[in-house]
Amino acid sequence: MKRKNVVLNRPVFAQQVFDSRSLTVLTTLFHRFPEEGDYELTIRRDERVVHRAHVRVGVEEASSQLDLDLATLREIEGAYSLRAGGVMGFYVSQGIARYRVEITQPGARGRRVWMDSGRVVPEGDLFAVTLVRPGVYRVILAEGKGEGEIRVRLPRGERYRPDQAVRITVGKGGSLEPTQVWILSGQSVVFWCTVPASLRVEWMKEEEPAEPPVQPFWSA
Amino acid sequence: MPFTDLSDLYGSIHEEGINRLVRHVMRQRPSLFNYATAFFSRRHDLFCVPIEVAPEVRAAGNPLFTEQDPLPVFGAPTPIGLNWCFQITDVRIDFHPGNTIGLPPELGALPEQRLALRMKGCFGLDCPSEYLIRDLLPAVEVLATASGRQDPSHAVAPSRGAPPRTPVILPTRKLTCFCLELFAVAHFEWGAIGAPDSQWLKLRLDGLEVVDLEPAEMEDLVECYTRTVLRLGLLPRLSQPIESMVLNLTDLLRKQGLTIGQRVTLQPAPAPAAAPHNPAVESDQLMAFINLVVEEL
Amino acid sequence: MAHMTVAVSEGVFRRSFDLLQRNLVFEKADSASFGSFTAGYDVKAHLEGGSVDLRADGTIRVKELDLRWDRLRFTLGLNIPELCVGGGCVDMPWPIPDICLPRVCIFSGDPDISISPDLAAFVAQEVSFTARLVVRYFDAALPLPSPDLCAPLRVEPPPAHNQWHIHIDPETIDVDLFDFPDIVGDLIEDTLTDAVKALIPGGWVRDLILAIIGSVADLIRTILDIPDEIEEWLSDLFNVSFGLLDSIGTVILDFFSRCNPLYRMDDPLEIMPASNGLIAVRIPVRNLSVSVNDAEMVVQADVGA
Repeated sequence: MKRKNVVLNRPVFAQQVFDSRSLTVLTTLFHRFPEEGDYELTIRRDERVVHRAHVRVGVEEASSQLDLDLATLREIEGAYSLRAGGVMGFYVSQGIARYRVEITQPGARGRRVWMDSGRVVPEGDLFAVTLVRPGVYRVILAEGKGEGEIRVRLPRGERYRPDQAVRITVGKGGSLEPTQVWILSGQSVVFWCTVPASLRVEWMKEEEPAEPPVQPFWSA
Repeated sequence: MPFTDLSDLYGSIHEEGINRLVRHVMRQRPSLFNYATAFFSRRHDLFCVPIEVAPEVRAAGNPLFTEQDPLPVFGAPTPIGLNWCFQITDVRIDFHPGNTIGLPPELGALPEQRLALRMKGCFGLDCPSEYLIRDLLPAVEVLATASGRQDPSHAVAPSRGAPPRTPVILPTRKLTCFCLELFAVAHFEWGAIGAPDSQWLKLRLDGLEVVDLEPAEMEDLVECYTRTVLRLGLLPRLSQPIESMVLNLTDLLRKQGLTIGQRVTLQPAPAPAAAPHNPAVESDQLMAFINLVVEEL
Repeated sequence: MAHMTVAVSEGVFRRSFDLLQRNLVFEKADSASFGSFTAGYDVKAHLEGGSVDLRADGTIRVKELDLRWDRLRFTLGLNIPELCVGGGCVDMPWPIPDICLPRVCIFSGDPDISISPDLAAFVAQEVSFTARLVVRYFDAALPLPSPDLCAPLRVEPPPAHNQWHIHIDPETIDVDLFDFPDIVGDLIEDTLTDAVKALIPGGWVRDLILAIIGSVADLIRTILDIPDEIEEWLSDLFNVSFGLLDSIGTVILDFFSRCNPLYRMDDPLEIMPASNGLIAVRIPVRNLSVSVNDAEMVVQADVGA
């Protein structure tokens, strides 16, 4: 049997802790630009600046969502365009480095920081985790006493697609709605922060057998 | 009716084919049909009948005749030999029914399953001329009349223990030749040669007639000698292995059979159980009925 | 009337044919790319059995010759597509646009897998053909054609002297289609599954990857683009895409009609062997012809002048 040299993307299977303040493989941060204008983007990898870019929001012909793979950034400098109200997603396809995203805007009264992921996910933005390892995960909010649970299990012969996601809304006082979700391994949970928040998702334990069937759902 | 109704294989040759075949044999193996003294290797032109030779024979340096000792002159005080030649020519075969060779009455009508043979036997001898004999006579007379007190240089017979003297062969200018017509009746039969399970087609002589030689005893003698020459000399050399009757077509069968551990041989079909006559000589043809025998090794 | 006649009964003819056809070996290997996969074969077969019938119309009918596969190796190379987790989109309340998640892929680089099962035990076919006998004269003085296509098929080396050759000349050759049974489909699926499993570590990681792939069977069907059973797809591949049936037919035709006479006869034919330095006596063979009826093969020839 001939075999090509394939390298398994190990972090996909090894990662057990996901923190919005320190972006890794299987996490994605989405920032929405409600206002047109020019913005500055800074990406830090393990605290070292690896990328700066200019983001122009309000370009008619541009797309409304732009995803940036932080692991494969090549140039130190860059420039991006987005439609008004568009979203930029920041994710990591491989590797074990940790990233921090900062979005600022120069202004008459100094630099305004729209987002510093190392501190908090700003209101209106989203943080997503793709959970692969089966088991029970705990969701912790640094602000407030919110706690949630995500149960991940392997598909058992049912029709299965990894490209399914559920939404959890982070509300006032650190509330999570819903507090408990079930997904299949490889699917994603998106936290919509209606208030500034920083989130941490941790693998706790193996899943108990005989779980109820999973239907990905979110509040209507 | 199919040819192979009576056996696995059938082979036949028409008398036209046989006669062509005989001609090829005579042209490619002339030494089987021509016998002469060594002298003739330099003087082919002196043969009684010119020898027809295939070019391959000359190219291979093969002899045109089989060398024989000269005919001795009896009583000569010193050995004297004469050159001579004997040739068989004009061989013709006629399978039953006999319609091209008219047999002499002594042999009767050609019986069924027989073939008629006609050939010429020519003999030539160098008869020394008068002039040559007169030339030799004085020396011969000296040798012939020498006594016991003789000068050893004139001794008649070699003394005991001495090697025989080479004959003096008289020089030849031309031969005196005569030819006799020979008729024979023969048949074919299957038989072994050497190994007991080998199968060969052999030609067997039934009767021979030399036409009109006198006295009758001389005719008998010549016939006897000719019969002996044919039976012990010529005919055994013409025996054919059984494969040749089917033109060696079964050669591949035999070779490939060996590769799978089988021995394939040919055997004549039994007569009269399978074929009434085998080999058969009829309708101007020689026919052979042959079975394929396969043994697992 | 011809000078010489030789007749070979149907039984002897059958035996001659049987001994000759044992030597036929069909051997071929090839592969082709079909985009998302490569497929190839490495095969070897021989002939066995069959019935030979001489017919009154002068033809020879060979039926039910078994084409026995000594080796029927099928090589399939698949390029496993990207396997990723994540992705998908989430509905957001207006005015916020729906958010679509990026995918993260499990392997760096596209893995290939390749399998080579030997399917010889699962398929058997028969060959039939109708033929005539043809006579060819082999002139030893002429050089062999270049390239010599008979070189791999010849049973005996070419003769050193002239010969008359009697060949079987097939007119139409029928070869049964390849028809792989169900278990071949299962075999291929199992072998591919094993190959996929060998790529990835065991435990829940493998279970997940296999779950993402769906069943290996579905993956295969997607890559190979086959709506039906694998064994049907495979049969089509062998019958049509690989053109193996044509190749088999050509080899059979060349073997009998061109490269290996069933019977041979030297020309000139030796009737007395060489002895004691004397050359052999040979007779020229002319006008050789061959015919067939329902009982026998008849060869006729003349002794040349």
